[in-house]
Amino acid sequence: MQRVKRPLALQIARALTCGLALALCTLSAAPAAAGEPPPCALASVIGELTPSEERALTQACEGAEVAEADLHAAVFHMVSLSGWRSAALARLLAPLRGQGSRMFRRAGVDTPDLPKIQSTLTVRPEALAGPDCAALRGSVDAFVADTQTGEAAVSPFLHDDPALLRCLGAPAAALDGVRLVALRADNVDELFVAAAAPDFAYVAWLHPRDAVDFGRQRFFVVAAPPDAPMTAVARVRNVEVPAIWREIVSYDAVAWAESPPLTCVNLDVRLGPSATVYVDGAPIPRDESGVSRVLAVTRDEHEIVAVECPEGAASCHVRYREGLPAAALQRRTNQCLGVRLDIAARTRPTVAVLDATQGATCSEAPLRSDGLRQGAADHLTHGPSKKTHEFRDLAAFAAATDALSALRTRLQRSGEVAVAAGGGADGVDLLGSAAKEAWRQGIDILLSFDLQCVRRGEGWAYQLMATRVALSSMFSRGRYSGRALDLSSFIETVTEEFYAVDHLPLALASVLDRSLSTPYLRLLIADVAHPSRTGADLTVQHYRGGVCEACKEGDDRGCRERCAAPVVVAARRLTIGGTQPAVCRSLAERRPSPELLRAAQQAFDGGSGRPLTLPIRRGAGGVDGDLVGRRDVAHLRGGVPGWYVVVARWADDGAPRDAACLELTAPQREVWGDVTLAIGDLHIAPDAAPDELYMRARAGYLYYLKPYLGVGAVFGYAYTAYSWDSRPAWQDFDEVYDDRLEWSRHALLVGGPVELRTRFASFPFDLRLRAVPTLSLGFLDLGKIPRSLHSFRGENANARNIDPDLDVHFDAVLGYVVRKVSVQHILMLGLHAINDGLLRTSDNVHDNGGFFIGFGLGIGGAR
Amino acid sequence: MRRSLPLTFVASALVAASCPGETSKKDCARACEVASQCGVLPSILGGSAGDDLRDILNDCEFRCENSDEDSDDDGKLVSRTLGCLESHKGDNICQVDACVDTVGCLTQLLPENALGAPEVTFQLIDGERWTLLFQPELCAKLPADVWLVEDEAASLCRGDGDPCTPSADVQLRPPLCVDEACLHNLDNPDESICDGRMCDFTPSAALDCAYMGIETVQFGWYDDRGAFHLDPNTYTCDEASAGQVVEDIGHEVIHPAALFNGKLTPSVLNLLGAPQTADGRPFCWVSHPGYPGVGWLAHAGPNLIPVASPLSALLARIDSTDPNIFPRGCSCLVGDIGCEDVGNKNCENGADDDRDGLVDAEDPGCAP
Repeated sequence: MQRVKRPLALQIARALTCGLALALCTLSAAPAAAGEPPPCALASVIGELTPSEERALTQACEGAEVAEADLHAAVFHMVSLSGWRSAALARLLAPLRGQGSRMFRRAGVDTPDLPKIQSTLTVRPEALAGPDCAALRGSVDAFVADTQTGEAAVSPFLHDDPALLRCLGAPAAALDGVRLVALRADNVDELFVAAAAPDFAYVAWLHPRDAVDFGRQRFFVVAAPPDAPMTAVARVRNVEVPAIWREIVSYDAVAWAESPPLTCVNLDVRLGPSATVYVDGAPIPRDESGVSRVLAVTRDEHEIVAVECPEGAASCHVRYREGLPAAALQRRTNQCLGVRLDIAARTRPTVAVLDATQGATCSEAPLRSDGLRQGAADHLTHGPSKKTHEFRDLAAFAAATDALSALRTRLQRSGEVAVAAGGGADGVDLLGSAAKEAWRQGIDILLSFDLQCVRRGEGWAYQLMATRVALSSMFSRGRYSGRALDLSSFIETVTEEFYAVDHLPLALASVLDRSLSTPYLRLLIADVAHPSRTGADLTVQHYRGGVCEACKEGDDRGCRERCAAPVVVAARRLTIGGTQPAVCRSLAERRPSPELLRAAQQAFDGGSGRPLTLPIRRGAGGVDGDLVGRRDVAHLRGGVPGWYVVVARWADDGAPRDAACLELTAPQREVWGDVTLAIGDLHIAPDAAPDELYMRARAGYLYYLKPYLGVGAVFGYAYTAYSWDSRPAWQDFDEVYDDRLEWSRHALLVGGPVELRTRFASFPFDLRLRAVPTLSLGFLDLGKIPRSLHSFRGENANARNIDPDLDVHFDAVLGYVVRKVSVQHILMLGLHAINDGLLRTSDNVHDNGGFFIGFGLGIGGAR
Repeated sequence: MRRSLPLTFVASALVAASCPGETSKKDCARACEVASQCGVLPSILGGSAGDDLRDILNDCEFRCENSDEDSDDDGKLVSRTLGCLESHKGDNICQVDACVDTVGCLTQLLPENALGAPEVTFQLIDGERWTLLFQPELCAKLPADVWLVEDEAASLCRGDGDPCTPSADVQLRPPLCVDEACLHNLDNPDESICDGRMCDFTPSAALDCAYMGIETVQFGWYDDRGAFHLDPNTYTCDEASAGQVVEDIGHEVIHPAALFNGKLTPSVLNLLGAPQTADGRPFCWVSHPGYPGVGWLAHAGPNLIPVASPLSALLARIDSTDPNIFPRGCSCLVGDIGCEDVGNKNCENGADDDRDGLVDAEDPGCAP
């Protein structure tokens, strides 16, 4: 086996001049930038090579000895590849350039001596000016003239042309078995040529001195085996990107009749620190953020490749590859083709919102999704996912808007689309244009939203669906390389159902967070105020993100248990009735920030009620594909009216994740009426009293200053029937009538009730104690009292039949709610006419003080 | 301090309003007891007709205690009424004289009807038993074999059941219990304000009437001035024995009497030693004793006043030197006035001057 021998002097020189930065020794003149992958790493990113070929090229690149046969196979394969790969051969074989030209043969095969032939194609200028070359000069001049006029011209360098052979001074059969390829060498500083046949390969490095110099025209004339693929890579003066010519040489040809026409590309590539951009295999110098420069390139097609060599990784990989078609480069002005690319290694994936749409029926619903896109942007910018994802405004980046629109349509259908990457189907088009356009602009995740509105009975149900396209996964290493793509593996949908219009922002936040695997724990409160007796339900939306998804199928039992009951919701009363605490105002006005959550936790810790852990009822739904989000319901049972702060946290984490305030309310106003009866036997004081029947009907209004304290006004009517079996005192001696004395009192009641009441939701009833100081303006019906009983009739009073009294009624009330009214059972403890004296037995119709018990029934309506 | 002022004011007002010059409970209890004993209950001072005695007393005390001595209208009367009752000198029902004074005090103070209208029922009873019941002092003066009801006589003469110990001083007797009072007397004899010996015992005078030929009875009474008031109604002996209400009797001491009209019978003539020729002759006798005799203070409400048949006079005649004691003619009502006797010098005028059915010498008053 022949071995490639590297001269010792050459190795020393290389070590001195190149050092470890092998790039300096490559075709590219650009210095190696920090993070540039080792030049020999190129071999590993050419996926088409066999391991032995890759190994051979790598070893050759590293200056090691390599078996010729191995190198032949590798070169043969390389020159057969398209695009930058063949050009990369010059870079990989750079250590051999000092040798001028080389042949790599398969063992035991007789091959033409191409280096020798190539050497005969060198003509000294003085010889070229001689008469032996006159015919050749004439052919060249004619060729140039024809070329300049745009006419087809035959190569002036034909392997069997006697004029050429004569000029070269070579025998007639010297160029038999080869074909000649002429390349204009006017601005070429160096030309690398590689050609390969099944049995051998040939590489050569040519310099301007190796060109055939006709004065105004200079050509490299390269010998190539017939019908062999050949690649020529020329380093053109002032052009960073080499010019490449590839063809299977079947006959004598002119590769570049003139110097390759140039154009420019404005390359703006954001790169990670371990990535390098190659244009046609030539590394482009970069700065800290990437490459931002204008490149002069030929008007041929080019290929941009970004190679990433992660630190510590065993191998490099192609991070990005893109071909620039020649058609896009046919511009003669200095208006460069812009190429923007963002493949910087980001600490946070980038997210962009592609679109937000709504179903046709939503036009009838009270909900509008006009602000959906902006809401998503706000949440992505300020929500919890901002820590893990970076929001990009797609509108500011998108260039291929038409393609994106097509992708939108595609995503809305969101079908199971399996396409072949190289197939040219519309799926490929989409991926190749729109999605890729978004991804190349640095978008890792594309989100789109679709809102559907469904009428359900009298109301509406809404379903917000987020579709996530994981561009970074789609275009990660190898994804574009020809294997079939299954779109469904890159597209995931998340849906959230809700019924209240106000919940759209939260639904949006939920689908966003779930789409981005951002854990969230939110309390969803439909109404802040709830009746204190029934309590309140809170929707608990929670999603543990990747934590629980990862352990769902794992063996970590603890993880699964935590994820099975991952949420703790606790509430604590802050006030008894009263106004909204400051922390609750803040929680109502904005989404909880960490500071606000701390304030809520402090309020919770300092609450006046006892801490209540709310039972959580698992929601029925909440599973969407792999993104498990739950909507559970926590119940705050009825309790003392007041403001409650509710704090939600993960079971295994003490920090509050969300907080909200609820108000358990008791009606502040109540209008009530009652009817109360007392009979004479229920009189307690004085011992003897004429009261036989007391009937009271009142209507009242109560305003509750506190849940347990109400004040108000009451109006009513009272009827009292009195009788004495005979006169109650030694009086009216002139009248011997001593039979039963009967009279009645009709009174108008005006009072101001003060009520204390319990608000224990544990009991199905309220206990109230209502004290009502009442002005009782009475009219006495004394028709059955003999007028001669002057003293008894109290006719010394100014108004004989008018009897104003001051009553104080204490009503012990047991009330319960039946439908919309409060039924009240009343035990009345009445102090009547306290101005008349409570203990003294009345000896006249005006003194009717007393203390008695009555029973009544009332109805109240509260709001 | 300022905060407590309204409370203090209210409390004071309540207390003041509860106790405006009321009469003390003790005073009222005493006053009502006196009123009850003296028979001015039920009245406007307390109680209702038909009530139990205890209820009447309670009602009296209630009204008393509830009365306002400071009242502009009735305050003075209340005080004076209490004064009358509190000045009562007696302490039991037998001291009727004291009640007479007390009732007199009240009647001067209050309208007559204010003390309760007495309802007086005169009942004619067997004279022998009347004597034993109400003049037991005669037991000692009469031979033991004079009593026809020997088995009862001893007990009655001992005063068994008599609320007032027999003595010469007892001229005014407590009233006989009637109706509810009888029941109360039965249950609470110590608290009784009446003589309950006739509650379950009615000594009819029918036998006496038949024996003496009495055909009609006409009740009457002497007042405390000795004036005789005659009820215009005339009853048979049976009707009189059943008891008859006599109107127009107020709160006063009455000495009951009756006029008996009939025809002399041989047995009476034999008893008197009068000639049988007088048999069938009409007579009009006056019951014994007359004024002053035994008196009763009429009470408010029902009163039962026993009136003795002429047999009581016959028994009294044994120990009496008064020749007109039996028979006493209706014209001989008070003292000797109108009697037919020697002192009146009408024993020889051939007329039955005193209308006792006996003429001149036939009349015991004309006996030598």
